Order: sequence, then structure tokens, then C-alpha cells
Amino acid sequence: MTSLKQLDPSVCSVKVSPGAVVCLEADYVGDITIGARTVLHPKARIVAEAGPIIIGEGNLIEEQAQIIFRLPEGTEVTDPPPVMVIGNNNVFEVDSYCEASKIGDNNVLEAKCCVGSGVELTRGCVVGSLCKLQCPQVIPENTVVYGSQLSRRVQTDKPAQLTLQLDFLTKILPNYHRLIKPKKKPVP
Amino acid sequence: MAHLFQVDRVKLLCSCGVLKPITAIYLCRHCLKLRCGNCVSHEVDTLFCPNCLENLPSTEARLKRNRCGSCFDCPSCSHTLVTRATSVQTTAPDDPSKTSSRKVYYLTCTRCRWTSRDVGLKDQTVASGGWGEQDNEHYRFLQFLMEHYRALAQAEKLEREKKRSSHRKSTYLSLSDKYSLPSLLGRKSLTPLSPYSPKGDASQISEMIPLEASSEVEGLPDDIFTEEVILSSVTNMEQRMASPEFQPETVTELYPLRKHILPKRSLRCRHCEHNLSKPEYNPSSIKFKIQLGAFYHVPEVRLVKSIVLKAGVENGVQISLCNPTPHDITLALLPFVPEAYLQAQQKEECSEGGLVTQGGLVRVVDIPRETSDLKLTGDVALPQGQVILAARDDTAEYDDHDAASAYKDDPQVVAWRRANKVGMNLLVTPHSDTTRVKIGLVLRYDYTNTVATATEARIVTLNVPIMIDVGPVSE
Repeated sequence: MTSLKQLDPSVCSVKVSPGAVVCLEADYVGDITIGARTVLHPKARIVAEAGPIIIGEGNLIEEQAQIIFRLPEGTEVTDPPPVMVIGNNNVFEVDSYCEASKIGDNNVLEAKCCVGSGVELTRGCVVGSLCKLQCPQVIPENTVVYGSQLSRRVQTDKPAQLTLQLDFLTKILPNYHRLIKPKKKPVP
Repeated sequence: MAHLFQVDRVKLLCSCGVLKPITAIYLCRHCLKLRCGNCVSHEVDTLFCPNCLENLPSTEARLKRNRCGSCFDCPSCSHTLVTRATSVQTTAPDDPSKTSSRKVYYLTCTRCRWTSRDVGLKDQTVASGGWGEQDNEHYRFLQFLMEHYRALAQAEKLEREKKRSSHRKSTYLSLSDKYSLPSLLGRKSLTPLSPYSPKGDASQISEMIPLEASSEVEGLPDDIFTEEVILSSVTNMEQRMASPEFQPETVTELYPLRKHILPKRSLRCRHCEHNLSKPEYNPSSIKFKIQLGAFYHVPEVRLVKSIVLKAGVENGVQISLCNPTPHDITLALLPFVPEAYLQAQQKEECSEGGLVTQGGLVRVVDIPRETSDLKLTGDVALPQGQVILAARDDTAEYDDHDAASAYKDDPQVVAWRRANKVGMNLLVTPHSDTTRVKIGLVLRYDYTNTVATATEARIVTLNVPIMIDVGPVSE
């Protein structure tokens, strides 16, 4: 039963830290590392084509969110391959699309937003729903991008704490979904 | 909705000369003419807050300057603010070692994440209300001006009343309410009749000291050319103009804006004074008591497919006609000649105007005729002959039998027929000097009038001029 549902090792290798809730019914491609307390919903999609993706602690990745690490066309894979790093306490809401080269901490990608490759999110940034950031750029700390005109403002307070939501999901999700078990620590 | 009715492609010519989409036009069932927002009288039925749906009487709304007392808009992006609750730890005043958590509330915008903490507004202990007004330094002066002009208006009114008090006594009270002068005024104007009336009115007016104009204005600050502008810290034009009395320059001065109150309007035909649209009074209801929208009474014309026309040749364009009424409609398409139509319209207006003034019962406010761009940039060959549009039947789509057989259609005229819809082919030839083709046609149809009046015929023939933007022309 479990062997049937296990991930195909020829396609992906997912390393899950203890304490993370990572649903099996999501798409995984490539080398992915998921930090503690991160919650990954079913039907999310994480594609690490160009190199490994390292997701930090306390992130929330909702349904249909896509995190894709793909090299621009025409570039060769270097050795060692580049790494996509996602920090801590970020939220990827429903149907968000992220190709950002680097993501810091406490960022929110709202529903149906799109962050193109070459964009770097620093800390406390919010990309509003349906906002598309395509040009390579570094978004300064605490920037909020919102509306069809992509208006920007700097927010003073940090995005709300996620802990309650994450605790709830860690309790609820295992009841209804198959999870990827964290690898047992090798005995020293 | 906008896409469904092709509001930018198919437009109807209103009786006042404005081109409007079918969604913005009304059909007066008594005059049997098209009316639009430009040529009807608008009446305010109720005032309400669009967020909390509270109903406000007009005097209270006036006192609150037409803004809601409990709802706010975001000063940064004008989205509605929501109240967010959070708990803070406070130490008891008598015993600093004890802490207790207390619920506090602040306003936040879900769109741009602005919060009332951004401007240093203190969190509230109650969920709604409690947010104070921003102090306006000119408040007293404005108040003084208001009082002055109120007194002035009152004095003038009294004078006028004296002049014609002999024959018109009953109207002025209703008038004062109509022109939104406070009811206070109506009461005050009665004061000369009472022996206890204060006689200080004249002196109040003379107190006014006019402001002096000066040619000198304050110079720009010294650092305006040397300091770099940080765009995220200054406000943009919309943000400034959202609060005209303060016009904040930096984002740290953006205070929450009280939400504007909206009116529920009823529309009335100016010629026959019948209601064209009347909403229900309850603000939470979106229904109408009366709604004479054209899309309930005029066959709807749509372009079936958007095509690119070829210059200089005849292009086949298919339109569909849809019957929204529960009666069969016989219709024909006639050529539209703007000049001739406008002349006929003017002639009719003259005769109609004469009639109304003879009657003397209805006060007709003349609407100056609007001139729309009625230039046709394409010739159209219309199918000749009449077509019957089947009545609208909501159960028709569950019916199996073929509706087309019931009508003896000329295949030259009718391209297809489905329930209450009919497709017709037009042949459009673009003019040589144009890039976008606009054609005109007159929809002549028999309208079944359901108004219960004995004098008028039940079935009347109406002519509706329609302009269709067919599409671009390729070489």
C-alpha cells in the first residue's frame, strides 16, 4: 500500500525535516528539502529542474501553489547547480506561481499572483492577488504590491503570525491526507 | 455582464440623442420612447451606507456630511477597511507583577495592508465606533462661513416671501427641503410672525470680514531641489484628493476616511412623470419595484461573431436578435439615415411640446438635445421582409421539438432560429476612408404594451435606431 504511493526516486528526492507536514498528493520534481513546521498542502507543485530547492521553516504552501526553479532557456546547468532558497514563515496562497530566485522571510504571495524568475523577495513583502512581477528586481523589505496598477507601499507592521494557522493544519491535515514521512536521522 | 451585452459594440440611440448600450437605456411605457440617465429626472429615495447598509434619513446624512459614522475607507487605496481584533498584555495599575490580556481593535486594509497603527492612531477597546475625527484648523472659519451664508439665504428668502406672500404660501416649505436648505431655515422663516422672534438677523450678516487676497505666496522649502524624493513616502494625487480638507503630503498623515453614503435613486420620465425605475426601500434589497430597462422591452441585438472586415467588398456579418418579452414580436430592419431621423425627431418634439404646454398639468423641463457621433462608416444591405421573434419561454430549452418548423421563414432573411432568438445575415461594405466600421439600422418592431390604459392601442409599432460597431477593417 505505502510502496504504491511512495514517490518515484528517479524523479524526485524529497527530504522532509521532522515536524513538517508534507502531503503526498502534491507534485514534486527534483531535489527538494523541506524545513521543520512547514505545511505543504495537497496539489501544490514544486519543480526543481535547475537545481535543488531548499524550503525553510514554518512556511505555508497552499493548494495549487507552484514553486518552480527553472533555468532560463539557453543556459547550461552549471556544476555545482544553483540553489533556490526559500526562507522562513512565508505564505504561498492558493494558485500562486513563484519562480523567484531567492525568497527571504515573512513574505506573502497572495492568491493567483505571479513572481517571475530573477525577482528577489527580501523580508516582509506582500505580492497582492493577481499581481504579476516579471522583470528581474529586488523587492525592498516590507513592500506591499497591490492592485492592477501594481501600486506599492511600505508597510510598517509585519505580516500576522502564522503559528495558529500552522498548528491547526498540522493537526488536521494528517487526518485526511497521506504524508511524506520525515527521514529517520542516521544513527551516529 | 458588460461583456454579455456587448456594451461597447451595439448602442441604442436614446430619444435625447445620446448613444447608450441597452443596459443603460429605459423604455417609457407611457411615452413609448427610449429614455436614458441623461434625460430622466433622478430622485433620491433613501440614503444608505454601502458597507453596513444602514439607512439614514436625509437630515442625519446632511449632519454627518454624507458619510457613514462607523465605516471607513482606506486612505491609501480607498478599499473598505475592516476591524481586526488582537489581544495585548497590560499590567494592572495597582500591581505591576500581574498581567492581564485585553482585547483591542484596529482598522486594517486587506488590499494594501494599511493599518490605523501606521498613522499612530491608538487601538480602540470597542469593536465599532470610537474613532475620532481629525481636527481641521479651518473648522471654525468654515462653520462661520456656513452660518453667514445661511443667514444671508434666509434674509433673501424672507424678502422674496414678503413680495409674493399674497398668492403663494404653500410651496415654500417644500421648496426649502428640495434645495437642501436645512429644515431649521423653514422654521426660522416663520419667526417674524411670532412676537418673540429675535431681531438679530441683519446684524449677523454684517459681521462678515472678507479675506484679503495677497500676491505673495509662501516659497518652496529649501530642500525641495536637494533632497531625493522617496516615492513610497509621499502620497499620490488620488490619496491627496480623497480628503480635500487636509490633502496629506506624506503617507504618515493618511487618516482613515469615513465611507461615503450612497443614494438609492428612482428615475422618472420627464415627459409623463411616470417612474422608469424604482428600487425597494430596504438598502439590503437589490430588487426593484419598477424597472423599465430596455433589455426587458426591446429586442436585444448582438454581433454573433467578431470579424475583421475586408475593405471595398461586401462582408457577411451575422447578428442575433433576442426577444425578452412574453409576447411574439414582429420586426423588420430598416435603413438608418441619421440626418432624416434627427429632423423627424425635432419635428415631433415641437408638436409634442405644444401639446404638453396646452395641458398645463405637467411641468416639462426641457433637456437640451445631445449630439452624438452618428457618422456611419459602412453601408449595409439589410434583409428585406418581416421576421417573427418567438416569445420568451423559460422552459423552451427543455423542449425537444424544433421551433424553426413552426415559422415559415424566408431563408434569405433568417439564418437560424432557436427558441426566442433569430440570427440574421447582413452584408456590410466598409467606406473607403475608414479603419473601423460603424453601421446603423432601425429596428421596427411591434411592442405589446401591457399598461392598462384604454386609450392606447395594445400593440404599437416602435422604431429603435441602433448603431453597431462591426469591427476593424483590413486592407
